Amino acid sequence: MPDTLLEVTELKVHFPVRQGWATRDRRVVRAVDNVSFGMRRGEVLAVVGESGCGKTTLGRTVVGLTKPTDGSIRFRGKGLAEMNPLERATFRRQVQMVFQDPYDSMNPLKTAFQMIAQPLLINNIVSKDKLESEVLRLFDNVGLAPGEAYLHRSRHELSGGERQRLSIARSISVQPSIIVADEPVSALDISIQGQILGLMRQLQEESKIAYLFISHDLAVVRSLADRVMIVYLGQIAEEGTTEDVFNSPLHPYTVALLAAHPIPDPKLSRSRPRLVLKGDVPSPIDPPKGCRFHTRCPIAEPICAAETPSVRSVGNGHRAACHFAGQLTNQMKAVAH
Amino acid sequence: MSDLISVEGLSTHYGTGESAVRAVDNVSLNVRSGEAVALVGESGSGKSTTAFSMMQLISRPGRIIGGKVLLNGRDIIPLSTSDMSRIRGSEMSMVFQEPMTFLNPLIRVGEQIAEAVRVHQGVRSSEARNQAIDALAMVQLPNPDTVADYYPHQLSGGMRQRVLIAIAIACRPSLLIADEPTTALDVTIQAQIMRLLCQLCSELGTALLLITHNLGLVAEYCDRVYVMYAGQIVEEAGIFELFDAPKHPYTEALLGCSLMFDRRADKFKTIEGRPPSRVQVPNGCRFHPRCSKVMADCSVVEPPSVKLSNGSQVRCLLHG
Repeated sequence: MPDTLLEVTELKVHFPVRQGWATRDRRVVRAVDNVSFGMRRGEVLAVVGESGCGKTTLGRTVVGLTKPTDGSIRFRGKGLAEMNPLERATFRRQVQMVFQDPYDSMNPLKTAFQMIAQPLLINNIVSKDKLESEVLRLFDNVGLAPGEAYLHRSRHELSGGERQRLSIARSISVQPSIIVADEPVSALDISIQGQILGLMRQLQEESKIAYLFISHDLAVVRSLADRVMIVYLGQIAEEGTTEDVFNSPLHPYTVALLAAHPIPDPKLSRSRPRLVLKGDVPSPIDPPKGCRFHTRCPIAEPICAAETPSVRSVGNGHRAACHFAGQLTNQMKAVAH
Repeated sequence: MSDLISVEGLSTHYGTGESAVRAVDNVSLNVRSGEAVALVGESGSGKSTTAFSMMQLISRPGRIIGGKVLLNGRDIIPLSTSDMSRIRGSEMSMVFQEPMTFLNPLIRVGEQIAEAVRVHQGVRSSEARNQAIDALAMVQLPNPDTVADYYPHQLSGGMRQRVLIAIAIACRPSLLIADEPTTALDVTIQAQIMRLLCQLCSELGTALLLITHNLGLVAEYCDRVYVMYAGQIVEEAGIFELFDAPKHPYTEALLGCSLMFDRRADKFKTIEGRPPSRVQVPNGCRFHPRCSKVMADCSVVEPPSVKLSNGSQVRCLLHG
């Protein structure tokens, strides 16, 4: 694909479980374990999973905040590990991150103007005399209006929605081609969420920025993403276009997530089949053998505990790591009630 | 059916005088026995303060400044601390959002449940422990007699929430207030806990007051809904009435903002502006600065709560 911006191949990120300086504990947390995917220009790729499944680690590794244990990340065909300092600087500018809690990701002593001006100056994007007009243009872009009123505010003088707008302004200031957005609307009330989602969609349509959109909220993902990856215990359970994954899920975990997600419509939510998964998500330190989902899977067979399922593809980029991918509709219907 | 608990004109403020934050302002609601009722609102709308006021768990600078909380017809606000302690945990109990904060990290979970049983039922330690183990079995924890000897840190988030529920139901209360019981949990665990709560409430005949911001949970698990905005209840309706035909413009806007995962939203809806400060509330209707159906009178006249023909109540000048 000529359009491929980012290519992640067999990525592993493991963290040692060190407890104290004299420990012999050699165990590791397999936060991301053998994950491969690609991202195209202007695409919104959602990463969906429960807490501890490694979705945040994946995002941090893609922007270079966490070092991979194994595997490669290639940006525009060039491996992250092989980049010279100049290429790395370009990469850092091109791949930006928006965090869940903008409050924690802002310097309390800086004004909104300073937060936006700094990346503009460091990256030589505008000259000093045009600085203020560029900052105001960015404020206007993200809906902080009138911009003049926001120039001298610090983070505590902004509401949650305004802070998230500012943090988006900061990330687009350097004209990136990818933004990794880690739960950008989870901390916001639903009446505010729409503002940020609308803004993100508008920016994406106008400037063809690609998003790696990390979220646990299926409703948000459904409306924003072009493609979806469902992650379970550090591995991709299912991947495909948003339509395919939501309308004809291949993996039992995806089916269970969809069945557990609350629907704000009493008639729909009370009439749909019920499927409640048993048990908790196992520890990523010692994940189950075979298919990692088999301990909670309602249709698990002996083979699931014995063999790691290979990734099965059903076309249109829709693939799942399940021994029974594509033939589970009737079985799942039988266990739902 | 008669009211199990009825809150009449409750007001709770933080601080005093001009600078008081009017967190709950003249709130009235009632829960009948065996019902599942939701109190819905966005952050800062006063829903948790309402719940804490009902349990008399408001601490300074917060203060209940007016109103009644009638439990089986008896006002519990004037009760002494010790009388209130007897009611809390036995007649009404509460489940909180973050279980780790409400469990003692130094005491085994079985003992924490047994304590409630001992205090309220005056039984011997061994009997209390048996009841604690029964309670752990009721919340469907595997191997309850082993789990009883665990400390809270040895349990996962979902299991901790189950322990908190076990403490709450150990004495078979007639009302259970659940304040965002699943917000800290993942969706698959959330589904487990919500089903468990509802199942237990119907088995024990306990009424449930679910405090939440999640309209999806309300739609799935509740019979009746109160919607709160800026410290006031703006609408009360049956579950189907509320979602089919919301009467208050705020409810309508809030439902409009919520996304569905079975279809793609072409436009993300929002409510313009932000909730008002609670020190200086707007004159007239509190929602009028953000309302899409605002009229001239809205900024002048404070709308009364009007009962509609279908039993719903709404606080808006468009009605009545």
